[in-house]
Amino acid sequence: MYTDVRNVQILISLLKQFNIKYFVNSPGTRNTPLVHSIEEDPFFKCYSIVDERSAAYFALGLSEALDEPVCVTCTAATATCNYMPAIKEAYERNIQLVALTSDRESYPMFHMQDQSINQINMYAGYINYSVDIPAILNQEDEWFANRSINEALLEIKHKRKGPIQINYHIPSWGSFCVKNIPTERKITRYDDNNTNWEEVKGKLKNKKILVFLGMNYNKEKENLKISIKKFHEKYNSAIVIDNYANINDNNFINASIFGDILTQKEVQELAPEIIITYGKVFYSPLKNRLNGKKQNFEHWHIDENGVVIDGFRNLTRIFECIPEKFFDKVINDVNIKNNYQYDQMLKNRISKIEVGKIPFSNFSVIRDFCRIIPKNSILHSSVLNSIRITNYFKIDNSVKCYANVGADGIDGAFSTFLGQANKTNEMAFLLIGDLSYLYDLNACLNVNNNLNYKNIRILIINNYAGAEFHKNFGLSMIPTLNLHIAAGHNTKMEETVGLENVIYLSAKNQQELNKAFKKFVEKSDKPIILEVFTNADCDAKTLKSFWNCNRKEKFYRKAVKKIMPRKYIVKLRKILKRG
Amino acid sequence: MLKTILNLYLNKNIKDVICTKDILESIIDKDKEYIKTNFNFEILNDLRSATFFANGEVNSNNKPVILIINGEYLANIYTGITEAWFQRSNINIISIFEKYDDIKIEYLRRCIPDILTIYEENIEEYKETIYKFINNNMPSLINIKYMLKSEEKVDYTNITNILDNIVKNKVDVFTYNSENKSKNNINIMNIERKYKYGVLSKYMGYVSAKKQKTLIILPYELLKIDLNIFNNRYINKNVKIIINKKKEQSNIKEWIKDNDIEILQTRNLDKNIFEKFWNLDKASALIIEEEI
Repeated sequence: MYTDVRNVQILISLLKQFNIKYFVNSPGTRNTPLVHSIEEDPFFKCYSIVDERSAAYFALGLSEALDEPVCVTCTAATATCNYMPAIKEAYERNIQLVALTSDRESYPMFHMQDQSINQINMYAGYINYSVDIPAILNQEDEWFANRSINEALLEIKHKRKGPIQINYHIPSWGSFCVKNIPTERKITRYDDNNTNWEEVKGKLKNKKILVFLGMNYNKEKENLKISIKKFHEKYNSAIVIDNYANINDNNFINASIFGDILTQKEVQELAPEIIITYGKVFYSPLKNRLNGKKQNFEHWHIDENGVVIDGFRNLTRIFECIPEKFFDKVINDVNIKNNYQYDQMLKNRISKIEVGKIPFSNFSVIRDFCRIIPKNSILHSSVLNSIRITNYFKIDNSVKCYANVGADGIDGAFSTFLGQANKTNEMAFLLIGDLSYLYDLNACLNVNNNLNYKNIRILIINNYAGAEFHKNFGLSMIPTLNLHIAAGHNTKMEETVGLENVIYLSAKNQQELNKAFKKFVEKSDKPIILEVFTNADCDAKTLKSFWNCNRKEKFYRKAVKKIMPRKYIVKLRKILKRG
Repeated sequence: MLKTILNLYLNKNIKDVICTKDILESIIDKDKEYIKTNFNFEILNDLRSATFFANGEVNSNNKPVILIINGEYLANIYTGITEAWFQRSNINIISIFEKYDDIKIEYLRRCIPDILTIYEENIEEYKETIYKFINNNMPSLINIKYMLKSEEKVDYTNITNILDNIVKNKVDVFTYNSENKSKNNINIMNIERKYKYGVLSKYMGYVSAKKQKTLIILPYELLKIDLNIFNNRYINKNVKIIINKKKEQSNIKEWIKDNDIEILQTRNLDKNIFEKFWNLDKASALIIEEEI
């Protein structure tokens, strides 16, 4: 019988799937749920050595002889320190040791709790990978444990063979009442040595496939585009992008808006059976709505370095190769044609999106701005609304788009943009809000004093506050919003720049904006800054109204949202347990 | 530099030094003499034991102690120093490295709050920091660069020649600190000096997987830092150990025998005794006792 401790069950299931069967156990209480479970399972081959230092060295010799990973397991506290000498040697000599260190509850550590030391990443400097697995209390813990153990086991011999640590918490040792443990999700990394492309093609056939392309600032993308288009012609697929994929085609869909407007029912209907991703970072808010566990799809990720990205909670395959290779391999010798059913489903939904009549706001300004960006320009969008709204509207396919979407911070958009502008002869546009601009004001000095940036155009939307917080909370919820949270101010950005080397334009209504935009995109000997004034509260309401108009919600839900104050909606959601 | 640092401790009337045998044998004679003359020193074999021993001295004496170690084996202090950190034991570790590049101590930061690496010959500027360490009532670590005497390589040709003649299939042979090369029937796997801890444990793990006779030849000194591995359930007839032992060294024959290993002993290795040892149908150890 197996333990009923969930994190140990996940660990055992994954060890079996990764074909790791050798264990050198040292006696202890904390590791008993693991040790008793594996000693009862004929798959595992167990050894017993009392002193953990000797046990780890014994395992090292065993692993060396077998050229296979060998696990060592022990109880909590100093027992785990004894693994250090062998871990160091294993790291230096590329030997596959798996240190399974059991741990106690974290919170009482150092506060009168016996046998408790900080075991997290305790072999730092001499370990291929180290993870800390919590006791499992909910689905999020379960996903985290599964993902982390997968990540660790994948690193035993990725790039280099070496030791890993899986530290797992056992607040109570449960009982041994489980006859069979469930098979947990395994992530497999494929490379030239273990990819059966025929099998991959077989898996893709007759499936609804979403190719989801994220941030890609590489210059050479023509071959990738050709490969993806060919893939699209053959498989029942849809290709979704965000602006930062920088791989544009009229057949590809920027589905970022879906993240903000789809109902749960629609997400279920539009979900694919397989998602294939490529990209360093994924901005599109669609990612937040798709969940492989809930909607029952597999996620495959392509990455040159074999990085694990499990944003959809059901990553099963990583293809460690360039994306061109993946797509070329799966289209080779395949005589099928896309029936475009799935592609059309997504496109139909996109085509139903309407902007309608909207007031002068950051939303309307960005919509108009997207239309006028000249071909071959570059565009850097700073953060939040600048990124969000530019992804709702069509920008010419030749425009190269950037944003600091990695950590998605407010901090250095202006400076980053200047670096990008400095390396292009094309027109370079920065779309930035007032707070983001003020944040990185030092970058101004470069514009005025040092560099000749006549190709740059900066569109500042000044709503005298952080509009995001007006969207999230609103003045009705927090009347003092502008005091600290949205950092309200009265600064005109005109005051912040020494204007002798810059052309400054401004607009506070549609008419002035139309006029300013004409000049803004003309050739000029100087950089041009265009400051557009909007109202933060109006900006937030416009955005929400756009979302609400395009949500296919039932009438009563819309009605409730319209008439009920937000704080009561939050309470109602809590009562209905819908977060 | 070692002497200059030790002088700082002496200035503060700290005179208890603990070191492992290997480090005392590797430091230059002048420094060795200085330690012997000026300090109360204790010598232990195993660094893990030495760290716990240092902790015991601090507990008992309520005074800081100095633990001088070879940085190559630093990982072995981890267990003892973790306990010492809980107890706020004032163990002042001086860790000797031959190259600055070898100093990788990230993992120790959680149990040694005060860590210093000395890069200059003139240690005047480090003086205050070292005094602060002494007063901190916490384990501390000072890393220094120091050229240790190199250990002489051991030649096992006489053993490997005999083995090569009597076996028909390839045999794995672990040697320690040797330059012997593989032969027709012998696959030599030399263990470097820096991996001397756990040599027997690794060997036992290896043999338990290999399912064929495997020889290890090692100096007696290494048994003393890996003794408990004889107490394991996986000793089988494929275990073949040759131990080089000096006559005056203490005897652990009984301990080995108790763990179901047949002992043979000789002063002059010849083919007959080797064949007897090798062909025994149980785990066996051959002790070669050298005259001084």
